[in-house]
Amino acid sequence: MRPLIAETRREPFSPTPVACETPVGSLLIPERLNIWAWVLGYTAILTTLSVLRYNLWLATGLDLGMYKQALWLIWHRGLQYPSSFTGHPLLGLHASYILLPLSLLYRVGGTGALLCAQAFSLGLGYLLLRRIAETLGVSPGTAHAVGTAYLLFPVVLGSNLFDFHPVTLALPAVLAAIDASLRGRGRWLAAWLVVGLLCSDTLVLPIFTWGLALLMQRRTRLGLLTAALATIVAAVDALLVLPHLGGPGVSAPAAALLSVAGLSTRATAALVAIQSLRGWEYLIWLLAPLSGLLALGRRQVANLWWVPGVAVVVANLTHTTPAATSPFNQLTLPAVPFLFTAVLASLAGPASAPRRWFTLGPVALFLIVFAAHQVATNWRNVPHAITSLTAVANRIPPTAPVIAQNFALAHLAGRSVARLPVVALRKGMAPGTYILLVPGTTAGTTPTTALGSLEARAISLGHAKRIYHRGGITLLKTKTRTPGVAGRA
Amino acid sequence: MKLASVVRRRLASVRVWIELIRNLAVRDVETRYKHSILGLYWAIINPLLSAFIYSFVFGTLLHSGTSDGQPFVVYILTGFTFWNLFANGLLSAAGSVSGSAALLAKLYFPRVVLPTAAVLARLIDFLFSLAVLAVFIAGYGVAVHWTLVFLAPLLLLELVFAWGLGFLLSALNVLYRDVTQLLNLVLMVWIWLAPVMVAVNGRAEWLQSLFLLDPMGGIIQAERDMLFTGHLTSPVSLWSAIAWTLFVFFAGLSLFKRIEPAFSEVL
Repeated sequence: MRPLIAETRREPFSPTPVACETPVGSLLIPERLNIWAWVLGYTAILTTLSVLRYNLWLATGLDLGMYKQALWLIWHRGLQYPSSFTGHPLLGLHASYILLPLSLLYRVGGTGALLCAQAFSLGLGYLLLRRIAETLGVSPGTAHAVGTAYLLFPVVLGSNLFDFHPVTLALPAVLAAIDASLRGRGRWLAAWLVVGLLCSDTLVLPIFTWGLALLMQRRTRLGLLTAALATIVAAVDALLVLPHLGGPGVSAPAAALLSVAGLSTRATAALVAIQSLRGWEYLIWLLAPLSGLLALGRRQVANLWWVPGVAVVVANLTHTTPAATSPFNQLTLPAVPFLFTAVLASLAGPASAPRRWFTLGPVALFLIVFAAHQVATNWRNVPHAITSLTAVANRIPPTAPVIAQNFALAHLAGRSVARLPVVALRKGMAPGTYILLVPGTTAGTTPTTALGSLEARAISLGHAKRIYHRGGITLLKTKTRTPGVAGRA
Repeated sequence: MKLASVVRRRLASVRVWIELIRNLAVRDVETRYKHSILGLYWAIINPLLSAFIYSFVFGTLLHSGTSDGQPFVVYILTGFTFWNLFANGLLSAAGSVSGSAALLAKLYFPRVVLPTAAVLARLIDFLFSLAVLAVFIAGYGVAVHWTLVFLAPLLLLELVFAWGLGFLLSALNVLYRDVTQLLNLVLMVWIWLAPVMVAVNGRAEWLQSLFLLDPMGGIIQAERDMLFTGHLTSPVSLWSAIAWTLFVFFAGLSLFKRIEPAFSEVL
């Protein structure tokens, strides 16, 4: 047998063509690679944790289900098709125009692409904070400490693990806008602000107050530009988009404007919230990491960068929904870029890098407390028999209407009709609807009694038949229309 | 004008890099098989022999199988073919810098081309293994899905993962020679944590999740899915593998560039 390569046909390596001292690109500078490694490391860890939560049927926040359905509807039915969760198009919820390109991403990459994009977007904040720190003249060691604290900030980590929300995609745009304003680049500032505001109108309040803060700093051109952009987006949303696409609660322009700005009419609510344990818990989770950073070297603590962040926090304290004062979801996210820029502005100037124990000690302590909190809240209530649950869920046809609890809707909502059992009880069910019930798992908003009533109603009236009933999992399919409780009354 | 000249210079340097990588990869393949009687046929014999052994042990002695009724020997050989591309590429890359001490002393060239060429050189072996796999698939009459065209991006992902880890390990191996020894042990354990010899379909959901959250597990299962079934077992988990691949690549390159100035001194 003759070997395929019996002899060397040419010189294996000639020294002549290797005079290449030109670098391929500035990306190969170790410092920059290091920053990208931090961003991508965070993305990888958070994507894995989000995927694990999803695979274990622990995504109970309902937002993932709602947005999956919204993206499915935009791609298959158009912009104005109402969501079965809210009764109106989800574009009218926060005027998140980013849903349009996201629908393409969801179509191509599915749920994993959304979770990965969210983790990457939040991870990019580290890179942009390092850039802002460079612009402000903060030493690299301190900037790294602030960037790490940002990645571990309860709001950032919690938003990532909670579910999915388009406002997370606005965060890098706002940070890039802040950097552009510090460098005095008006056009870039405007471009990034537009991108941020198109992601979610919840940014209107901090961006408007930022504009005012810039005016107070006598940076008139940039201040006017920022405030004007926020005002235009608020006006367009409140006068055109929300009354047309939003629900009945925001049909009047005044109510819509309050919704856009994230404000409550109850000004005294802030005082009530501040007296409650929940309000204090919220403030401690937010302020403890920031005050730890300020201890690295205070110089100009009283700066105007705090104003937009504080505005969001106060607005959340006045809000009636309990979720607004949770430090682990996306509702406080619009404040984050400004709070961390304020910290960086406080630390500007040459300084020695923070001592390693100073950084590692609090980080380790925070991670232990945060992990314990997460395990006690978000990582409990894994539905039993998830293997069977997955198999049963796979038996539901991809376009059939479905009724399921919130943790199951994160998997099943990518279709035109997906509802919670309590809503189905009220509104009734069309023939051919699949009802997936796991009464043993009570995670989320649906009480076990509602599940029992739904099953009893569907079966006893002879409207549905059982397809699967084993190991605490029930799958029903309706044969005829089942009237809702309200309809029957 | 200035930008155009910068772009032209950089493109020229990229061309030189590609030429250099190609030369080093060819040298790697040639030196590996140069003084052997069977030469490149070894690239066919190795996977063929492994397939026969595993098919005898798992198929005939242990009566193992997959839940979808696919012949186990085909299942294992597919896993091995894709795993070997990664494992062999990684092993070659890990020793690429420390094994080129003479070259590094004589010539100046960007050091990153060494692990790059080492990983790419393994593509030749992989192509031969793929031919063996094709024969087995045809021999057992297993249907192949048209989605096998998506193997190309998945293979690219696998190569980038091996490439990134190759950067990391080749740099560390210059400082600590234990790295290659340790790598052999790690790969020996890792192969059992990826769905190479273990079928994930039909396992408990949590176990499936653990298998597929391992980046190599996610990639290998996706490659197998694209080849045979046409639908991914867990498309969500593949995104986790993509994220880890990008991280490993950038972290590996970053560490390599950081240690690079010490190469000439240590070697």
